[in-house]
This record gives sequence, structure tokens and C-alpha cells, in this order.
Amino acid sequence: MTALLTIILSFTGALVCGLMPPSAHRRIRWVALAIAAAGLVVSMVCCDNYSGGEFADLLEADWIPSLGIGFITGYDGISLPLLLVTGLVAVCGVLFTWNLETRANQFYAFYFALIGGVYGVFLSLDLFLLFVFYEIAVVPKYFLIAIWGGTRRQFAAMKLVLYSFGGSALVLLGMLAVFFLAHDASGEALKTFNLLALQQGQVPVAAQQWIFPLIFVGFAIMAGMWPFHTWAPTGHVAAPTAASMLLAGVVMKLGAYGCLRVAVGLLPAGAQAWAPWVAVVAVINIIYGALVALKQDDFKYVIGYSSVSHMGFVLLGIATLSLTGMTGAVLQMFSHGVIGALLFALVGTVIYSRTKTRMLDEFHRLIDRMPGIAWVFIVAGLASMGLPGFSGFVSELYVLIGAWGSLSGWIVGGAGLGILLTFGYTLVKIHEAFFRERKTPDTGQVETAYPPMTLPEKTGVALLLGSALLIGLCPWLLTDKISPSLKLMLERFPN
Amino acid sequence: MITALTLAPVVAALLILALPEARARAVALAGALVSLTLAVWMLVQFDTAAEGLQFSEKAEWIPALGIDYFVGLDGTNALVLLLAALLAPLVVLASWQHTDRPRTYFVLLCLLFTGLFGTFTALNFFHWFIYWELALVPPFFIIKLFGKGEERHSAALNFFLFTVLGSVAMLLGFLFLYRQTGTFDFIKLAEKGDTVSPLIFCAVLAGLWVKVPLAPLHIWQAPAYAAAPTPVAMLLTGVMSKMGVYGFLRLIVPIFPDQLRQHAGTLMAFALVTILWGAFLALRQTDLKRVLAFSSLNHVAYCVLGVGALGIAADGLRVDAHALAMQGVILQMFAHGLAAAGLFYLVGLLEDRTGLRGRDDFGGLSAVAPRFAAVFFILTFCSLGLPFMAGFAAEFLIFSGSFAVAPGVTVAATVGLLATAVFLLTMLQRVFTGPTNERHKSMPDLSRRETLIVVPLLILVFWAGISPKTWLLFSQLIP
Repeated sequence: MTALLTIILSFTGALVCGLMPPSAHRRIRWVALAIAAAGLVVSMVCCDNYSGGEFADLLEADWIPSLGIGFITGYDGISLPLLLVTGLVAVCGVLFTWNLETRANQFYAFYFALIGGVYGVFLSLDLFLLFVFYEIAVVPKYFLIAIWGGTRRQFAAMKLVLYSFGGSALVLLGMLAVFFLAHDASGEALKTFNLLALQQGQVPVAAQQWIFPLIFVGFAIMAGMWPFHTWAPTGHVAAPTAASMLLAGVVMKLGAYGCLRVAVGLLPAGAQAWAPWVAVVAVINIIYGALVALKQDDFKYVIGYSSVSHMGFVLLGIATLSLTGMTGAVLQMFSHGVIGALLFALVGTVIYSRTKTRMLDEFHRLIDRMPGIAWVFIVAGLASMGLPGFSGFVSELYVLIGAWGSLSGWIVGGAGLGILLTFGYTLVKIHEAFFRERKTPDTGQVETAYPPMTLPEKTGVALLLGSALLIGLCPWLLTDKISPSLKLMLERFPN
Repeated sequence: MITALTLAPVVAALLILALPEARARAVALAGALVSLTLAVWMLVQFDTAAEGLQFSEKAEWIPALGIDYFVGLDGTNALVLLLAALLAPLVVLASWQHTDRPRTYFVLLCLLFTGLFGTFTALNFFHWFIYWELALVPPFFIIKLFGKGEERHSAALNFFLFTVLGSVAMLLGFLFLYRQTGTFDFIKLAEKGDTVSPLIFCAVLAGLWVKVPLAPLHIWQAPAYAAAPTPVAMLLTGVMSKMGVYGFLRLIVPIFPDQLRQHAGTLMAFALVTILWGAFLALRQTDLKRVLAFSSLNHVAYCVLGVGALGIAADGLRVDAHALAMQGVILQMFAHGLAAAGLFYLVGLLEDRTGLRGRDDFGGLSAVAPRFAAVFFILTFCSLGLPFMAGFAAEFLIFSGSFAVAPGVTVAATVGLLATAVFLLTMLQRVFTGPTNERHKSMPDLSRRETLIVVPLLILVFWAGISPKTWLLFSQLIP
């Protein structure tokens, strides 16, 4: 029951914030912070109570029994890190949107509706319920971008929604196929959406071959899989900071989580057949994302494409179908969730609110004019680059160790090349953003120092960077939860 | 103990962030002195008659991957650790007058110290790699922010990309190794025997190749040394180049003995090329910092020559050649670290005082600044390998070891010694003798603080040269 609180809290929060008068934006932000923090605390309590392995905190209620649909929630080691990252990003999203005044009530209503949907997906143990929450999460994204967004927001919002629904359609087809084809050990049809029951039963191996790509690609679109990743950079860039933090930090993980939980979890034989292809696409993701990031002039696009590149590691980890690699994938979801959100917050709010531009060409020696912020970004950039000591390094290490074990050396070499490119673009962009003189003609403005970070900004930075460092140095805090659950999943794999 | 030594500078860095900017240098100095004290204390307590690790600390870190926190001290790393711990406070003293954003500067410097100490003491790849990379990031930013000239940006970037290229190769190599052996523990890896594929060997080798560096991957070196602020150039040449050599001793020699024996000839050939090419390049330079950078390239390559000799001698038949080469390499790291760091410091002083660092910009300085000249001469002669100084003892041991197993290469390498003599003596002659350049008539001699920095170096240079036995005791029992 504890975990369900996160969903209830978020949707109540949406309602409360939505009903407050728009003029009360100062009060609204405190309410929002309290709700988000409560969600984080609940996730942490769940994490603390969980001992590893099986699903915990199970809650089963009939919903539409005739169709085998139930309201079933619970969590295991795979969903826990994602609950935590959702809580963290939700809190920090509020902190980095501290000065929002336009229609703050509606903003937070959509914001918490999105977060509620996300918690819902991570907690659902019924395919139908999962799908419902997955769809619930789409709508607020559209409004958050279309109303509060920046560059080409209408286009970006529409594109995001179309891609989401396109993916959902594939997932829905796959889910229906699973519903009709799954049978238990004795061969009797299950006719249920109950994930726990489906896990015990099986889908005919021949059918898995074609259902797997449907569900996997459907979910992977949201995870930013090449070549369906293009919604991500445009969406991230257009979205207001809190929303792009959620998009990069959490929404992309929805897709990856779906790939892992539903596609791989229910269709192991299909996963085994398709894994090499997934690995190839994952490596393309890593390299392509890094190369495109290198060519960007808009700072936010750089981060957008770096997200695409980092999500490649999640896909690669899943494709290894090994305990180590998949642990790495889940850890990478957490890690990128935290660091990606931090980078978007820094670029979208902390830097942009001071420079009023995101074009790298117009930045002028920011290291001298905003030294504190520049150093925070540099550390965050290095963390994102996979500097040892931060969570990104550990997760990529797990993924690469897993990949050595089960995939061809070319894949690992490709991922290694991707890491190098990541080093390259991170350093080049850090140089262009902070160390370079402006390239556009001088506008004659006085080059003064910018104001330092505000308290909410500092708090947000400390929370996100602190978690990345904590997990980088003490990865067992999460891996001890993740691995036993993945082990159970892998035990159901046919040899 | 080792952990405290390694982390003292990080604590200092955190304090610097919390305290007023004017205190930064004092806190950094305190942190470095704590490390030095601990290092000296450990070396005094070090039991030179005992084999194996001392002062080791081991704790489970990531049990799922079999990763431990594991540090320890033995003959291989005792002297480099002392070298790093000694240079740390000297470098802080050398930066005493640093006024440009001191907080940033000293924080980066302290992090660099931790990276260096950690690299030399860590015995598990996982956190060894953390330190290895940590030692890479601060110099990048120091060169970029505080370096000289516009080429500092490209110098920093080249430095970083080259080293990272090597690091990633090494990371992949160790992952491959982990897959075969199931451990990241250096000691356990050494016990596993030599069943690894040549690919892993090449990957690990690549990482060290860049770091040492050996030709042809040395091209990042001279620009980085020349662009770096003097104190950091001291560390780069004095300690960071030793990271690569230490990597050879800690990783290549114990973990890949068969591969090393197979390829020792090639390795020695590349070392020879680097020795000669470095000397040749140094001959052609007129910028003093670049002369020293190429001289460093040349001198560190002697260490790799010794490593190659170790590899050939490792078949157990030529035990004495093996011991000679091993002790020589370790002493050469120490000796070169002292002399090269000192010389970079002195050239940096010249540049601070006159704004010049061309070999032909000076003349007759020995009359103007006799103490400065004396120290410069001593350190240069140590570099040259004059008897009774550290460089001689070390190079003598290396050459004896390598002559026993590969006489041809060794004889060829002595040509490098001659070339070294030519460019170093030319440098002395142009800078210190002849008519005094009018512009520098009033150049001040070494101040008290500056003397304080060079005196420890001089003492050790003579100590290791006259009585190398004290220092060789540490490495006598390395198998």
C-alpha cells in the first residue's frame, strides 16, 4: 500500500494545485515542493523496506474481471531505482522552476498528472493498467510543452504526442497478442493481462518472434531508440525546464522500463532471437547521438542528443540478456535520469535565465562571468561523460562487462568508440560554452558578472549531483536491489 | 594510513571551498604536508626485509562484481609515492604567489594530488581507474584556465584526448581480462598466470604508451608541458610521466609476463626510438620548456628500456639482469622526477622574472644569479647522468640490466646519452655563460622561499647518487 501513495499523492497534488488561484504562485510552489518531496520520501521508504527479489507491497483488486484486467500494483528491484529517480527529479523540477509565475496552478496540475502517470507505469503489474498510465502520461506532456514551452513548441509538442501514440499503438497490438496467445504450463489459454500470471505462463515461441519487435520497438520509441529518436531532442528543447527534466530524466525511462519489463520479461525467446539486432541499434544510438551532439550550436540540443546517446547504453545493457548487463541497464536508467535532468536544469534554467541565449556562439567567457555555475556544469558534464567516481561510470562498466560476455567484440568496440566520442563532445562543448570568446559580433553590451546560483538552484544541484556521486561510490545501494529481481527474470529464460 | 594519505588533499580541497579565498594556499600546503608526513613515516617504518605488501587495507566494495577497496605499499610503489608526496608541498610552495582565482587553482591542484597518490597505491582496477582519471581532469582545466598563450586550449584538449583514448583502451582491456579471470584485483590477476589474449595486452599497453609517453604517441606532451603553469608542469614531468612507467611495473610485468617476453624486443625498439627521437627533438628546440619536455621524453624512455630488459630477463635464467633493470627503473623514476621537476621550476622562475624562455634570450646569468645558476647546473648534471648524482646511479643500473640481455639496443641507446649531453650543455652554455645580457643585469637571485623548494630536491639528488643503497633497499625484494 505504501508505494501506491506515490500515485495517490501525485494525482491529489495535481488536483490541489489546479484548484488554487493562479495569483497564488508563491504558495503553489511550496505546495508543489511538499507533494514532490512526499513522493520522494515514500519512494525512499519503499527502497528501505525492500529486501530484494520478489515483488513487494502487492495490491490486487478486480477491475474488469471478464477481460482478465485487474488493478495490481507492486514493485521490485527493477522498478525501485526508477521510483527513486522519479521522486528526485520531481523535487528538483519544482526547485528549478521556482520563479514560474505564468499560470503556475495549471503548470503544476499537468506536472503532477505526468508524475502520477509515471509512478503508475513503474508500479503497475497489470499490462492493461500499465498501458493506461502510460497513456495518461502523454497528455500532460503535450500541454506542458505547448503552453509553457519555447522554440517551436507547438510543433515539438505535436511531434512528441504523435511518436508516443505511434509507439503505444505497436505496444497495444503486441499486448493483445500476448493476451490471446499466452498459455500456462498445461497449455490452457490464460486470457489475462495480469503480469504475474503471464510471467508464470508462456507465449508460444514462434509467436514471440513477431510479438517481441512490436512491443520492444513500441516502447523503445519513448526510450529514444534510433531511428525513432527525433522526438526527443525537439521535445526536450521546446519543453520548459521542469518538463525537459522529466522527459529526459523519467519519461525516456518509461520506454526503457517497458522494454525490459514487458518485452524482455514476457517474451524471453523473442528477446533471445532479437537481442543481436537490439545491440546493433543500441550502438548506433550511442555513436550517432554523440556525433550529432558534437555538431550542435544550441546548448539544449547538445544535451538532447547526449540523452539519445546515453539511452543507447540502456538498450545495450538490455540486449546483453545477462545479469550484469541488465543490472547496468537499470543502473544507467537511474544514473542518466539524475545526470540528464541536472544538465537540462543547468542549461535550461540556471544558465539560460542569466544569459538569455542558448546559442554557444553567443556565450562569452562564462567561466569568468559565472564561475560557480560553470564549475557545476563542468562537474555534471564530466559525470555524464562517465568519469569514474560518478554513477555513469559504474553503470557503463556493468553494461560493458555484460556485453563482453554475451555479444560480439564488435559491439563492445563500437560502444568503446561511443565512449570516446562522448569524451570528445563533452570537452568540446564545455570549451565552447565556458572558455571561448563569443563568435558573433560584439553587441557592445557591458560584460559583467552574472548573479550566483539561488538557494533553490543550489539545493537542486546538490540533490542530483549528490545522488550521482553516492551511487558512483556505493553502487551496491541500488545493485543489491536490482540484481536479485533481474535474476528471477532471467531464471525464466529458456536455455 | 594509505587512505588517509590519499584523501588528505581532498579534505584540504573541501576546506578551501569553505574558507576565505586568501587561505587557499595555506590549506593546500597543510593538506600536502599531511600526506608527505604520512608518506615519510610509512617509508621509515617500511620493512625492507619483508616480501609482499605492507600497510595494506582491504574492504569489500562492490561484492557483486568482486571489487574490493584494496591499497598497499611495496617496493614497486614506495619510491614513486614518496616522490609524489614530496613534490606536492613543493608544488604548492612554487604556486605561493598565484593570484588568479586561487580557490579554483588550489582545489584543482589538491584533487590532482589525490589522483596521483591514489594511482600509486590502489591495487584494484576499479578504484585505481577512478584515481587514474582523477589525475587527468585537473591538469586539463589548470592548463586551460591558467596556462600560457592561446595554444593552451588545444594543448589541453590534445593532452586530454590522447590520454583518454589510452584510458578507454585500457578500460576495455581490463573488462576483457575481468571476463576471463573474474577479478579486477592486480595481485590476484598476477597470480592467475598468463593465459590472456594478445588483444588485452595491446589494449593495456596502449593506455600506458600514451601516458609515458613513447613515440609516436608523444605529440601531446611538449605543447602541454610548455603551456602548463610551471608548478603543474613540474608535476606533469615529475610525477605524471611516472604513472605510465609505474603502470608498466604494476600491470604489464606481473600480469602479462609471457606477452611481455614475446614483445620485449619491440618494446625496447620503441623505447630506443623515443630516446633518440626525444634527444634529437630537444636538440632542435630553442624554447627552454620544450627542450626540457623533450629531455623528459628521452629520460622516461630509459625506464621503458629497462622494462623491456625485465621482460627478456624474466625467464629466470638471468636473475641478476632482471634485478638490475628493475631496481634501475624504479630509481630512474625517482631520480628523473626530482631533476626534471626542479629544472622545470627553475625555467619557470626565469620566465616569471624576465618574461622570456628562449635558449638564446639570456647569457651570462651565472654572474647575475650565482645560486640560481649553481642549482641549475647541479640538476642539469643529474639529468646528464654525472656520477654521484641520482641520474647516474639509475641509468647505470638500467644499462647494466639491459646490456646483459640486449647489448645491441643498449649500445644504440647510449647515443641518446651523448645527444642529451649536447643539448643540455648547449643550454647551460647559452643561458649561463658568455657576456651578460644587459636586460637581465638586475635579475634577482633565488629568494628564500625558492631556495626552500630546491634544497630538498638537491639533497635527494645527491643522497640517491652517493648512497643509492638506501633507496634500492625498497626494491630489492621485488620478485
